[in-house]
Amino acid sequence: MLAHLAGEIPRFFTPQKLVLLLEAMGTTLLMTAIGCVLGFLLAFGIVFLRQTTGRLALPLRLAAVFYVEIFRRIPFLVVIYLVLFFIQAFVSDASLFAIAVIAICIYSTAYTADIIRGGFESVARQQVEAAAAMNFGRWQTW
Amino acid sequence: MPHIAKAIYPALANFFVVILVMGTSVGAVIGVDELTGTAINISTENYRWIEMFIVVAGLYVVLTLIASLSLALVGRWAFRVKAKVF
Repeated sequence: MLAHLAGEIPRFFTPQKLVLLLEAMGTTLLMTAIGCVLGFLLAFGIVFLRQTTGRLALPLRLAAVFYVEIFRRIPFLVVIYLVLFFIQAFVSDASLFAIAVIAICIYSTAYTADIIRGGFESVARQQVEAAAAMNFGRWQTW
Repeated sequence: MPHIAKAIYPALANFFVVILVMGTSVGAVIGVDELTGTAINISTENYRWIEMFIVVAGLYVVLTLIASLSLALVGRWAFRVKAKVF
């Protein structure tokens, strides 16, 4: 059995198959990198909206909270199918790679926003108050 | 800001690896040519499912090890995150 398997190995690992697999590995890495970096940048926007104060900005705050809470509660498989069919309804020849990247982006935005919010909330309240007492604006405090 | 970066960097790096494995492999169901999708394509041609997926599992382990190690090094260099690798 083992000798038989060992004899099969050269037939199994043909160079073109390995090249195919390595290319696929690169695609996987590229998808993750684009999705996570874009998601990280968008998540900062979400967190900024979520931390606004005052009554006028209430819709923004609500929108940010809704976005994060909804997409954290939908499985990724469902998100990717939703993105696939929504985009294919409008752009019939969209590339699957782009669709997957968009889905990853949406998903990672929601999760990263919560991670970043956790980071901001871990700053002691006294430090934020100290920054406010020294007349720092919100941007400077950040 | 710097101390926030230090606080959230490990979680972000962890999330990157999670997306790297779980997120992208789900892309196979809609037919993107990434690692799992390519494995399925090759296996449907030659019916070597077990062998193919053992190889793919190994490739995923290598990929995530490289990713998490390099992310830990970046974190140590940029934010002084003291991640214990071993």
